[in-house]
Parts: sequence; C-alpha cells; structure tokens
Amino acid sequence: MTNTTSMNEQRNRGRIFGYGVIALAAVALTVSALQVDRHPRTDDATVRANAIAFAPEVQGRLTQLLVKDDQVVHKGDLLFQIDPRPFEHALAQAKAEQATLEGQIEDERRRIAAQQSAVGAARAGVTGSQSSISASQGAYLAAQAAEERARAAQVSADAQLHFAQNDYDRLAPLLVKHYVTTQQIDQAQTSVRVAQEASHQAASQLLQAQAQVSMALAAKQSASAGFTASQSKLGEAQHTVDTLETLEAARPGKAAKVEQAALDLEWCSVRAPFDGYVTNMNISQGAYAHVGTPLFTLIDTSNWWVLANYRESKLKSIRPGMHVQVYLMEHPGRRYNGVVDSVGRGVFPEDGAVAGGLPAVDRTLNWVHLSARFPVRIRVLDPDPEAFRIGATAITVVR
Amino acid sequence: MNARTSSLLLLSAAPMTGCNRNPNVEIVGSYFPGWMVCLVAAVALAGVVHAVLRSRRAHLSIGHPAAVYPAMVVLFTCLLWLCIFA
Repeated sequence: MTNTTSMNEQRNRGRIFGYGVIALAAVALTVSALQVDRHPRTDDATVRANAIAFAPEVQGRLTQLLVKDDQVVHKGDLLFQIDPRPFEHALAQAKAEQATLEGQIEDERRRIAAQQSAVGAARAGVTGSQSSISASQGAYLAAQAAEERARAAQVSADAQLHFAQNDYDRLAPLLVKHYVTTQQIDQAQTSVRVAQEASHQAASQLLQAQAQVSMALAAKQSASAGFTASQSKLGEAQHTVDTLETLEAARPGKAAKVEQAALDLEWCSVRAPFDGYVTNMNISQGAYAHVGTPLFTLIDTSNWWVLANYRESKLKSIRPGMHVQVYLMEHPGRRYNGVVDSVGRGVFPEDGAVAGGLPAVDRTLNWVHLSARFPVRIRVLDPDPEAFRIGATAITVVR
Repeated sequence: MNARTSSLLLLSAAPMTGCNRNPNVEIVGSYFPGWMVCLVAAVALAGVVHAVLRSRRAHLSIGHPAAVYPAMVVLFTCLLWLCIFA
C-alpha cells in the first residue's frame, strides 16, 4: 500500500515537472521572441566607408611614389609626383604667348594713333575742299558778273556801231550833191570803223568772260569733286582705323591658358585630399599615370558606416537616431556604438522584369515568402581605425 | 531544495544579467548564430538532466517525455541565449 502511494507521488511529481518544463519553455520562448522583436539584430551587415578611386588630373611618368599599399596618409600629404618638366615648359610658353599679346596690343595702339592722325589729316582735307568750293563759287559768280558786263559792253558797242553806220549811211548820199564835205564822210567812216572795232573788242571780251565763266564752273565742279574725294578719303581713313577689341578680347584666353598651365604644374604634386588609407596599390615609381585612370584607392577614415540588411518585418522597430550595438567578426569581443542614420528606401525588385513591353510575371504557387531585406545605414560613433575595414562582416543590434 | 530546482532557478535568473555579447560565434572560420550554439548546448544539458533523472530512477515517472524533453531543449536554448547573447 505504502509502495503504491509512493509511486503515485513520484508520478505526480514527474507530471508536475513535465508541465513545469513545458510552461517555462513557452515563457522563455516568448521572452526570446519579444527580445528579438524589440531589438532587431542581423549578421547580414558589412562595414563601409567612403572611398575614392584616386586618379591624377594630369598625365605623365611618376618620378616619386611616396606611399605604399595600406599606408596611413593625412590630408595634404604628398602621395606622388608626376614629371613636372612638360608642364613647366607649357607654363613658360603660355606666359610667353601672354607677353606677345601684350606687345601686339602696344604695337596696335601705336598704329591706331597713326591712323587717327591720318583721319585728322583727311578731315582737314575735307575742310580745305569746302573752302575751295566756296572760293570757286565766288570765282564763278565773279565770272558770271564779268560776262554780264561784257555782254552789256557788246550791246553798247553794237548800238554805237549801229548809230555810226546809220550816220554814215545818211551822210554818204549827200556827198554826191556836196551837201556834206568829204571830211565829214571820212569822219563818219572812221566812226563806223571805230565802232566796229569797239564791237569786235566787246565781242572778244564777252567771249573771254564766257570762257572765264566756263573755267570758273569747271573749277567749281572740280572743287566739288575734290570735296567728295576728300570726304571719301576721310571715310576710308575712319574705317581703316583698327581697334584693340579683337586683341583685348584674346587677353582672358591667354590669362586662362597661363592659369591652366600653372594649375597643371601644381597638379603634378598629388596630395591626399583627406585622412585615410591607401589601398589597392599595384604600381611603382616610373609608372605612367593617365588622366582619370585610377592609380590606387583612398579610403576616407573620417566616417565609418555599417550597412545592415534588415528584414522588412523588422524595419518598423528601426528609426533614424536609434542606438545600435555594432560587433565586428574580426574582434568578436569588442562592441562599438552606432546610430541609425537612415533606413533604405529601395532595393532592386526581383520581379520587375519586362518582356516585350509587358511585365514578366512568373507562374508560381509560393506558400512561404521570404521577406525582403533593406539596407539600414548605421554611422559608427566610436570606430577603431585599426579594426575597421571596408567589407568586413559586422553584426548589429538595434537598442 | 534539490540540485535540479536550484539549477533551474539559476538559469531563470540568468536573463536579468543581459550579457550583450556578440550574437555570432566563430567556429573554424565560420560564423554560427548564437542560438545554434545554445541549441547544441541545450541538447547536451537535456542529456545531462536525463542522466541525472535516470540515476535517481525518476525518468520513468515523467509524463509525456516526447514533449517534455524537446520543451527542455527549448527552455535551455532560450535561457542560454537570453543569458549570453540577448
């Protein structure tokens, strides 16, 4: 009887133990699940830092290579030196071209001064031509007046001749009957001859006056032509005056060439743009550097990041500014502090293919879907430059 | 209070400490999640518990052993994980 009671008690204890274990397991599982949900963690994370593929601005042979692979460099440190001689020559040539241009500008300035003097002379010629026109106009008017006087003199001489001829014609028949004396007839004939000569002289003077009018007119026309010619000469002189604009417009170009040559020469000495590490260096002194072709990589150690790919179901618990514990596989025992900088806004959608202008959708029957992962950028607050390497595996726990 | 009860209490108090260790463990160049290591240790611990119970001839009195031992493994796994890695 006692044995049976003891066995029942033992069975009861065993049952209580079993139920207790199951209940505790459920509680522990729930606590663990809540812990994971409240503090999302992932080991799908890598260390990142900003890095640049370091390429020179000028090309040439490396005369000095002052850094080696994985070396620490500080901002402003000389990394390598490209042979500066071609760039020194280019700078000298650019300066010479600039000086040549300045000389050309000076020469041109003198030539322009001479051309402006020629314009002044041409302008004086125009003024002189205007005076000639005025003078010839006066001479023409004077000649016209002389012509008028000569015409009047001829009319007067003709009238005298006509009067003397009429007088003679009246007296000549009277000589036969001796009503007049021979002397009177001779006197009348003389008067006629004198009047004829006077008429001839007046005609000659009229012709001379007319010739002078013609000459004065020709002189006037000549003066007008001279005025037109001198005006043309003035215009030509004005148009042939060169300007400095073209040469002066070349000044900035020459100055820019000098500055570019100086900059190229400065670029021969290549310096570190920030504190960091040199990596991926596989060249030695004497290598030929090409513009834009990277020689090695510089890692910027001023900021270290961890890109942690969290499942989308955990993103609701992650906000920018939250504290993050960061572990590196290289140093499992060391913990670093970080802060969530941003949560990724997009990843490449795997079902976004397009075929024939239409979305390509697979025929699937998936009962279980894998959650997508989005990168969460975590800025490490206390990075150890010795321990952090780009691409190192990290584990992050958002706290 | 026997040894089994005291050990259970000790394990129950463990999550309060919160070790905050690296959640992954490196084993021969590979990184294993902490819970997997805890699972292996929990299986071993369950074996130890079973051996203790067997030595005291109490293992036959546990009802539904097919449910109790997996639950024990889950319990040990969770407690270890909460203690060491959470």
